Amino acid sequence: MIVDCHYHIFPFLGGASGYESVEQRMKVMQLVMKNAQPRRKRDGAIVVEPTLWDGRTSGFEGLLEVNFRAGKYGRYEWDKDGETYYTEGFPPSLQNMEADPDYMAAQMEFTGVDVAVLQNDYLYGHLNEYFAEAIRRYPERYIGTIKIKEAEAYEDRQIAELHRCAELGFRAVFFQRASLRLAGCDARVDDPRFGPFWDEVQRLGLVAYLHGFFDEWKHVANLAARYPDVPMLHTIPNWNFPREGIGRMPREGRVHLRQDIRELLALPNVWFEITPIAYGALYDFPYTELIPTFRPYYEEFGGTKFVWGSDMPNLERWCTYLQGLNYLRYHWNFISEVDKRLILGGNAARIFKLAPGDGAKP
Amino acid sequence: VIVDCHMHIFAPLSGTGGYDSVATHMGYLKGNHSMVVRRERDGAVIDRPIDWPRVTDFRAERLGRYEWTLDGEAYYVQQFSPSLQTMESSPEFVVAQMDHAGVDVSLLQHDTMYGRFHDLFGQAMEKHPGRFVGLLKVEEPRAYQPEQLADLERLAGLGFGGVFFQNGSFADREACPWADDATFDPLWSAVRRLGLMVYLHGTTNYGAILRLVRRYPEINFMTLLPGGRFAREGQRRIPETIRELGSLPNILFEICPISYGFQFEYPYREMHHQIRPLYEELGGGKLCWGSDMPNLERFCTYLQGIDFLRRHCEFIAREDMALILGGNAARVLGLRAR
Repeated sequence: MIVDCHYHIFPFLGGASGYESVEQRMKVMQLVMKNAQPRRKRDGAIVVEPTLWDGRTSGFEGLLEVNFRAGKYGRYEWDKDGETYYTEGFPPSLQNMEADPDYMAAQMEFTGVDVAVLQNDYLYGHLNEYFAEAIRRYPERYIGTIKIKEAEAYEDRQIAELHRCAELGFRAVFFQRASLRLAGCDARVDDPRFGPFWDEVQRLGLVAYLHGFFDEWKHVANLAARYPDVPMLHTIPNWNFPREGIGRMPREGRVHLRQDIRELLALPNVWFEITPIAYGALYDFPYTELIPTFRPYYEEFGGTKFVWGSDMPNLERWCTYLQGLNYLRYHWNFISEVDKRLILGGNAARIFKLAPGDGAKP
Repeated sequence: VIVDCHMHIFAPLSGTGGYDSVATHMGYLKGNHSMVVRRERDGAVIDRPIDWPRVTDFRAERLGRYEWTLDGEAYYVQQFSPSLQTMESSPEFVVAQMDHAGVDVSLLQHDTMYGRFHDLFGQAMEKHPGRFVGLLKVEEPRAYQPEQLADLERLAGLGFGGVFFQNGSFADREACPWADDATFDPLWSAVRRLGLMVYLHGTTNYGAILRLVRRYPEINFMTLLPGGRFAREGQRRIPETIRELGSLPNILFEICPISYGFQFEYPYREMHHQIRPLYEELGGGKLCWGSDMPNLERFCTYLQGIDFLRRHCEFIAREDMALILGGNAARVLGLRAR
């Protein structure tokens, strides 16, 4: 069984998609992308000076009025001083800026992927309803993750949403650091205020998908230790495996990993995601340049602590979906065949309690 | 300048495609596929022949697929990447792809299966000046007739840069009457007079191609890179006919990655044995590059479709690579640097 632990479906990216309005949604996207290096539409030149914000003022206040919008062919576009700019957030093949469940199921069939976990990142919208319908239509294909307002996660309303989605068949919760910060909340992931929320996650038997907690591994470890019955999976689209604070992966010595990450991964209920999207921005398929970064993790922890995810359809900016699987399956041959099977599906099947032949069905 | 000599734009394939009806268009698509047939309910690969005359609901509507039912069972062919969600390749979509990959100009091939798109090609050239060169389509078996020649003249006047000539349009694909039969002289004379180039498609009869190319030295021709097994031993490694053809000044061979993607994984080093003897014996001045987008995305990205050549065929000299990726085509098409 092959399980893709990092998959996206979404309606048109220019819509409100669960935000109060299209305008609010676009403001959020503009803020997130304010430091992207766009291209000037008329000639494709890469522009380095700020075009989305004033370059001085942080937050929404610093954003410029530039008619930021979702265009077509994978692009977000905006206008400033008579010029149109764009950033290719997705591949041009995302013609209508939409990845509906049928389309993404066809991608899975083409590549030979059995099950996909739908990550519920706020950048795509607040998509609990959209996911619920996809899970209902494709119970063997998709596993849904729940989106709540992280900064208010301990409040009754958010916990009620957690319960509602669990009853609809969602199997995990997607908890993002960026959502906390966007809401002005500087709490760490293990902040005691979130206790009631994590208690319910545990009680409902949900998996926790953690996103973006790169500089607080000790806090993630605290949370994981506090809730040993909650499988916790940290997504890793962080441009490679964590090596911040060191600047490189040591090749010398007996110990190669940071101690905080070693302690985190040593916990029985923690997994890391491996995703090729981080590599494609820098390197050409099959991404063997990243082997020195991942190999120390593998050699220390073996194949049981990692799961594979693609980040489709974003991935197609850099390679095909099949290549996004094959780089690991056919080219990272320092990983044993047994461990490849675990990483590509076996571990996720255990985390989500998937039965052979039943796909994503509980 | 980077020139893609093998690009497709087309209206949604579910439509008429410029033919008189959807049924006519589907008739060109039905059974004309290069990917495997799969049973929809479980994805099983079906290897038995399809009884196409009994298929009455053939459609090309979504997700890169041709779909149909037969005896209550649904089947499909994933002929394009699933990302071709609406089965359309509009000029704007292709320009976005070209911008993303860094391609300057595309030569629009005009294959029968997609449709008859003179209007679409004309609009694309007008709306995106400098980005597209359209190849016009004639009805090949009667291409010498006055109404066909009148079309040729009209379309050349609209800015089409050449003729897409398909051997597959002839009932007898072995005969190649276009090469020697004097009946076709009015066509080639008109092509020569109008200054058009010719893309010869769908034949590996290099003897026929050689005779035609030799007879019309003022016309520039393109055709697909010869395939098959080339000798690894000996001083000469490519067949004499191909050597002779390649020695003529008015022929270019298109290197296209899509045929490699069927069998191999990017960066297609397995195909160096095919490209290298031709390059070493004929030189960089005889080759050009084409992608076959958007079909290519079944196997690799557009950028990879260039990089397999640009970054991984290290045996090609830098100046020759510039010729192959655009210089030769620019000369043939009369392009100037942007």
